[in-house]
Amino acid sequence: MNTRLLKTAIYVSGLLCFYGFLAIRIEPLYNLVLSEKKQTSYWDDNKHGELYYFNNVWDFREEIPPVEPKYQYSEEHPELEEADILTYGDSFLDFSRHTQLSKRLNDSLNADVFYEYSVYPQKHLANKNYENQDQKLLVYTRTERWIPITFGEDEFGDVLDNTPSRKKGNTESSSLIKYSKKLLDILFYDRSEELYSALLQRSYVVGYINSAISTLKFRWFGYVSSFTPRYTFTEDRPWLFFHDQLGDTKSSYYYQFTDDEIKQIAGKIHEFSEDLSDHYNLELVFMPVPSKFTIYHDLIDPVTPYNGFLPRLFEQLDKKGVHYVNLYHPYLNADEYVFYGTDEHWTEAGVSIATHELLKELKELGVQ
Amino acid sequence: MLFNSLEFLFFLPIVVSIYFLMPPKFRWALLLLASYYFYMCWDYRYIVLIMGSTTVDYFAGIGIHRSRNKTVKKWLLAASLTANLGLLFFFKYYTFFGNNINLLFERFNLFAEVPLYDFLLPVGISFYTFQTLSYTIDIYRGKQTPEYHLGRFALFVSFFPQLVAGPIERSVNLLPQFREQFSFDYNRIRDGILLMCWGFFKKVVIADRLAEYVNKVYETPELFNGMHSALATFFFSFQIYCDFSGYSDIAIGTALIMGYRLMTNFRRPYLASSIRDFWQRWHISLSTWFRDYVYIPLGGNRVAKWRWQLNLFITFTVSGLWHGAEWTFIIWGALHGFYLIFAIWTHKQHAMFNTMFRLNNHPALLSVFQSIATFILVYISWIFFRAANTTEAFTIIANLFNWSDAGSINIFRFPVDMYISLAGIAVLLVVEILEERYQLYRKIKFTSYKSLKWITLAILIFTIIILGVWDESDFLYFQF
Repeated sequence: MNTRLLKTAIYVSGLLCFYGFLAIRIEPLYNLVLSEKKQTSYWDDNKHGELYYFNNVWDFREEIPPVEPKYQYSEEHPELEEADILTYGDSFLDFSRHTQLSKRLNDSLNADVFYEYSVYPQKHLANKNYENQDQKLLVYTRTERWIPITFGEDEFGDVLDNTPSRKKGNTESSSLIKYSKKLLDILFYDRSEELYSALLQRSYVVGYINSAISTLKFRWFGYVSSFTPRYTFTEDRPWLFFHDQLGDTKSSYYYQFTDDEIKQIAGKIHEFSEDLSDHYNLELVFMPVPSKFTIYHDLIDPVTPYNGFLPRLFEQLDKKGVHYVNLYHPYLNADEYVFYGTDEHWTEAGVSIATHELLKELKELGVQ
Repeated sequence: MLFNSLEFLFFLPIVVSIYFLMPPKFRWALLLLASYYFYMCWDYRYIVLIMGSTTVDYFAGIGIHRSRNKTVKKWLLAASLTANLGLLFFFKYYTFFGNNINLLFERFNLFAEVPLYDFLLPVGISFYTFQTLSYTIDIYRGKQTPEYHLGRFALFVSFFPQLVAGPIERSVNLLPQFREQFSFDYNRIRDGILLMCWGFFKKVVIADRLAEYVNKVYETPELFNGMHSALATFFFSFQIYCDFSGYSDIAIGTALIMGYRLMTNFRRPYLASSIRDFWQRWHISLSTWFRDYVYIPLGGNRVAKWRWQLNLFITFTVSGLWHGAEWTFIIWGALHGFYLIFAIWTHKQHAMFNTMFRLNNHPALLSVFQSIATFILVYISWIFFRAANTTEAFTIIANLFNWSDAGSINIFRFPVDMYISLAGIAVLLVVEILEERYQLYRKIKFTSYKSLKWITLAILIFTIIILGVWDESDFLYFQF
């Protein structure tokens, strides 16, 4: 009797695990067992804010609006060549819990607004063989904490890369090598740990138990994930903060930038702007989105001051003549929360302010 | 693939299920495939090294056995030694020796330079090369016949439970088991799961929790004082033990589920009564390897007294180097060698001391006294083992004498971890003492209260889930 029971338990768990093994490699199988389905962009595949999923503690659940259809797949989205304004950027532009910023622009202006989720516009333009006779505007958004990295030493080469992907490297490798490589990549999937973790967190079978355990650990011992080491509760909502803005790195909200470092970053943004103008006749409008820590760090640490990265950068961009949109001061003075408590992205108020400020800047540049 | 990863949690039930569904005569193929997959999850390119080592030793083993000519046998053994030790030297020691030779060149103003390369150290290379080496040496010595089945031999080299951090198995023990047909044995499987859970408890509840404190202090020792340094080293003593013996328990338990009996690798080392006793309890598969293939060939203790002591010193220094290509590991090994030699020198004084204080009449007290003294010696040596370099090791030692105020001793991110860590160590020690004195494990294993085993298992699993540190962390011995 005991043997049969143990045998059944082992075979059933073997079968479930085999399903898991396949599911993390085959998306339809994966989504079949998830209470919240996997989407193409990870910031869109959760119900409670992305930071909640790092610690999985019920106390940090915050309802955020469901995903809306993406602007770039809609009928009104123009082709690249036909567009009057091009918008490129990171997950803030792609975040579709509210009408996306690019669509708002398209609806507010008498102009066709093109959008692409990419922080390397040159690469995209080169891939599309973009050639432009008339000068157009390119709005580029990047989250504050990524600016020192994107416009730093390591990544800047990719930013200015105007070589189409297909022309790079030897593309004539035999199909046998190509398929072998693909097979190896599937078998030894480097995201497997992350996807197994998501499977345990969100699957119908164990999702509830998993979050119950995390909640218990938080309530009994105060444990939270090292991905979200700082948290607090205000009267109306919980707050989680992502780990990447703590510590002695340039993405930290208290990293002390020297004047030279700020000048260097501003110089690279200027170079980026010149490059867009020289290669594609595009005029850059740079819109850095303040980080959540920048606006709300006093919620968790009233002592350590903000390093003043954005105001100092704006000062340098003024000197270089780069057009930019200042969201820092409007966000600080906003009456409503501009970020979600347990998500890194902007709220309706945040995206509305951004649209308003961007429209103001575009107006100054003669766009009606 | 790490034992404490989700990947392994999904991998093992799949392998075990297929294993028991398969006809026994083909199980070697499944295990070989699973073992290669297990290794390739880390970096699939490096499987070539294991395959290369397997091929060389497979043919060398057969060649040595078949040849009647002693010179040919020697050449084949030399080929196996060169291939395995060459591989090990190239990936693990080349940069270390290159750096030191370049420093020497610089010191003597010689305008020469050894070119250096940035290699990724293949996981487990020290383990599987030593395992295959013992195979060819045993065949050369006539203690072992070769395995003619290439698949089974390849499985012996790469058997996934012990592939990347041991125990370093002997072919005499493991190879014949691959021909056995293991049935689904309820008691054996339950015991295997119990052992695995005990290993996980040691790894994720104790070792990984202690790691936070240890890393903080050892990464910037200059920021901490004697209190922190002493506690961090104390914690490291248990971190390394729980980490490595936890890995061994998981490995032995995993193999046991499928029927394979791996050798015991740890036998409560911190209850050892002397350094000699410690080495009969700590990393047994490695210490017996060094005994059989280094110490005895050097002459062991059947030589002049000075030579015997030199043999001990050489064996332990080389053992230190095996652990890592750093001076700190060499000092750690040499220190243990010195401890053993010192024990030989002071043997009479020990006996006199025991007689003078009548400790021989109080064996329990003597045993406690000896265990504490041994622990202190081992504790000091761990400073070198853990420190990133000799400078930091000496900073930690200097810190031990500086007890000025340097803030709270509890530097854990979650203060509760200090209490859980101390409780974890206490539980470990109590279990080990009960095991040492009353064979606790055997008592649980053969108890007539069948539910006791399941209750023990349930408590362990609950503790692992609630108190386990599940941020992915490497097992310390992977780097060796």
